[in-house]
Amino acid sequence: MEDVRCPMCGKPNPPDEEVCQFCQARLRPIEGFAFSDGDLYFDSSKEPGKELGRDVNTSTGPELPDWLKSFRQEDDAGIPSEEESLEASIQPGQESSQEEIFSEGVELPAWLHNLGEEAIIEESEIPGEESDNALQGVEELESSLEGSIPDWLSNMRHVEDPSAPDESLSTKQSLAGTDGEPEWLRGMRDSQEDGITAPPDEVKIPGIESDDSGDIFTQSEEEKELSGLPVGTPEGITDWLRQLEEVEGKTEKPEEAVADRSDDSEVPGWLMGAGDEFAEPEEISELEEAASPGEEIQEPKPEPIIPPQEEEIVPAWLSGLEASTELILEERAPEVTGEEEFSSLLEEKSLESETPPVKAEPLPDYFQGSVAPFTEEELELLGEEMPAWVENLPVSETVAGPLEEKIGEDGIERGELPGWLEAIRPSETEEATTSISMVEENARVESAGPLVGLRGVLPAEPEISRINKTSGYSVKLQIPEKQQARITALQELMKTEGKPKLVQDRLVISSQHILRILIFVGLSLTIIWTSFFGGENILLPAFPVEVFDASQAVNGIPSGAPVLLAVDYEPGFSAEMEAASTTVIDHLMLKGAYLTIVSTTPTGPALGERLVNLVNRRGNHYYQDSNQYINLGYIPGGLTGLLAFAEMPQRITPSSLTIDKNTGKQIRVWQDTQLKNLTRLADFSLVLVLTESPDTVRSWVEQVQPVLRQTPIVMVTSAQAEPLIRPYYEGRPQQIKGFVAGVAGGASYEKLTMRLGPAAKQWGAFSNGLLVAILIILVGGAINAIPGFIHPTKRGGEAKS
Amino acid sequence: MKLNLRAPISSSIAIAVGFLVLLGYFFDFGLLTALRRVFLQWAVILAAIAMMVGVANLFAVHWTKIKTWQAGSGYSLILLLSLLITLMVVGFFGPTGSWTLWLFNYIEVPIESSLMAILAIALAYASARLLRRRMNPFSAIFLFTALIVLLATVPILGIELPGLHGPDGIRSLITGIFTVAGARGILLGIVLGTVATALRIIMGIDRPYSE
Repeated sequence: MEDVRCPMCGKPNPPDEEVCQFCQARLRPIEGFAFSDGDLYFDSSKEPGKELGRDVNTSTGPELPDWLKSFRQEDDAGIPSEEESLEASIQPGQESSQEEIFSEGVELPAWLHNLGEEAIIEESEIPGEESDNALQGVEELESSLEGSIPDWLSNMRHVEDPSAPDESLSTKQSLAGTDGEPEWLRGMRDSQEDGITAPPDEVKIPGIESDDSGDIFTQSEEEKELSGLPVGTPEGITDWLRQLEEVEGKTEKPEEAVADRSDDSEVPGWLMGAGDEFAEPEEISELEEAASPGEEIQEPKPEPIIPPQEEEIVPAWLSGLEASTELILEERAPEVTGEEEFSSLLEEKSLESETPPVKAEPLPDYFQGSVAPFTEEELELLGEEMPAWVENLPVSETVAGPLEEKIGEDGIERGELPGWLEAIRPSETEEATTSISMVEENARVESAGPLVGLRGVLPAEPEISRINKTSGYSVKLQIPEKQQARITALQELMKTEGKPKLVQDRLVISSQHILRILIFVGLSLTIIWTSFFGGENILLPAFPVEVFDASQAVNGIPSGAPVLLAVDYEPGFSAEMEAASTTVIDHLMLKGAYLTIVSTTPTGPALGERLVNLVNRRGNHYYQDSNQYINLGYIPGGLTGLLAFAEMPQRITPSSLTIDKNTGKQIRVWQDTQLKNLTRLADFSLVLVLTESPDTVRSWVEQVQPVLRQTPIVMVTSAQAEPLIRPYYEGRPQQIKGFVAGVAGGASYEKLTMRLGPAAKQWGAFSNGLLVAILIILVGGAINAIPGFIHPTKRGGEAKS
Repeated sequence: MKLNLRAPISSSIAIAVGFLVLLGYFFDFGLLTALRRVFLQWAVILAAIAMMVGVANLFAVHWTKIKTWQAGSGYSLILLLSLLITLMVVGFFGPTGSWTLWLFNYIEVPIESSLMAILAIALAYASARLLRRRMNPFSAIFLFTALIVLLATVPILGIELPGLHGPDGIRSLITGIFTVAGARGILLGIVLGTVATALRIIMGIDRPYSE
């Protein structure tokens, strides 16, 4: 390896030496922290323009010189906090607060104080796109610098930028009024003037390089932090350079300082970027021209990727210092204005962050000739000899060199970090991660849609719009055992639903059938036995009053008198009715009554004929049609027909059913028979109604009886109609003269008339059969009632079913 | 606008006729009596025609059953044959002819009498099972009353028991008081219902003749 030349005395030293053997100056910059007294550091991986943390004021590095410690103490006393500074930068009209930073923090020299004011004003006034204002700010800044910048700085500028316009040159010349310029600076300047042409370089002061973020608020914040504070020193820079850099940072506009910090990941351009292809003279001249008044400031070109730089080709740092001052002033105005530049700056930032680390190589030749300004030991002595404005500089947050982080990652030995810096490492890591992810997101390029090619486009609901393959789900149900049992039961129920139910075969002979058969057999045998064997010996019933009245009514008609015989019973009741009425009709025939048969039922006329023939046979009568009796037939219309017949019998029944054998025509009843003298029903001697129905009785009583006047009505009814007939009989005046009800009534009537007939014959069978029926009801009722008394509930339920 | 004139006309006719017949009961005017009698004659004729229409409808219904071979069409065939035979016999021999009466005396009367005999057996059986089906005090009272009346209707083995038979017996008490009371109540109810129905028809409230 080559020997390391001491930056102070210029003598060669072995490469493994840390300190110069001749002058005891440090041959290599202190690793571990960028600036000897930097409260702030800047991480290359961090989002540009964003601070990761602050120093711990209480912890002071062991290698910090006293004069830097004093800076920190002063910073603690007078410099507002970072957050306060940030708020002040965000809020409009906060120039006063920044002024306070300058005024209250330390007693700055007049030129620095004006410089700070101008920078703040320029920052707040310069919009992103108003380059005129930026130029104006530059002019004001330069004018303010006149007379306040030390001469040695002015000279440096003047020497390094001979091609600058006149105005800037005058400014530089005014700044170059150097009283107390160090010898080494003067020598460097002389050497450059002697022909050492500084290669055009995009000189960037470490720690204050351009911020890729372009956030004006962040820039102003960091600018405040940088103002009046020592600038972070990148690796490989000696302390005396840091001091010089610090001074440069103070003279720069605030936004310049902020912007320069964006590239803190790379090796400082002013030191290592010399000879770089980016620092070509054309570019610098263009920027200088753009910064000149009266000309439009062109938008800064995106910074290309910075390849690894070699220190051998790095131009004089001092020339770069002057150029960077001009250059950065020109770049700031458009940089803070255009938001579209943000993405490009980010890209540059990312690319620059990938820049290989700078190897600590020996200083170039042009630097060999320069005399190192100070050694560490001299710095302590220098602190006493420093100008007043340097001593009074407030210790502020400076941009820490992210270079150390970069170098550390690349395997270069790290320096010892002070305690206060180690303390803030964790937060640094988190912030770095966040910033990296943000940068990656911003670097995302849109691949579809109208925003194709743009970076940093917010994804349009990526999770929603993402088309995923439909996940498959199992269709198998998890059924508990209880539900499975229910399902099985339901399935079985459904299966049996379609099947025909097996109907149990009924027993051919059930208990009910037996009971019915027993009833039939008992009654039949009783009736048959009584009818054929000794039924006539049974005592006939006593004749009741109604029967007697009925016989008296029949007895009261004259011989051959017309009698209206209404046969209004059904053929089913013929047995009972014939047994009850035969004796009455026989009695009438005995009286020689002219029977006029009429009926309100369709079968009545036939029954009338049947009854007459029956009585003729039993009573030895010879009643013949149209001579002794006449059949008027059926009266339709029910009650209406009966009323009509009662009012006008001739019109309702004008002829009989009997056909005249001589003429072959129907007999005109009311002209050709014994009825020819009759005009109304009241002319009949007796009205005998044979019916089994209470309704028919009522109809005759209600419709016919009113028109009969004195003509009596006698009823021969079934036993079932007796209860309803009796009221008409028992009423006063009587609506019916008497009645004969059922077999018992007929038997009574026969007994009364002493003409035993069918009723008397049936009376024995009727009586015995009725007794058997009574026994059946009693026995059956008792059998069915006993279980009901024993199990009343069960029987009740059975009854409901 | 469509007017339904059928209902008003029929209602007016029914109301007018009913009112005239009713007035004929209260006022013995010749005109009212004549009108009432005319209406009564028309009613009798219409009832006879209605019965004939009923017979024709019965014939048509059973004829349809026979043609479509519906369930019970065999009974319908028997019915129609019986109807036709009876109609032919009565039409040929007259309503009181010998063959007509033969059909009546030896077919219709025995059949209907047999049905009444079955009714007697069924009533005896139902009375025996009455307490099994409906065991309550009213059933017991009903059954007890029926037994008392039956026992008092006929002499028990030719013997009439005092207090049971005769005019002073329990049967006379039951049939002369309870039965008459109940029957009169029923008759009064029937009369009141008939009057109410007649008034409603005359007033047009009820229109059984309408649709």
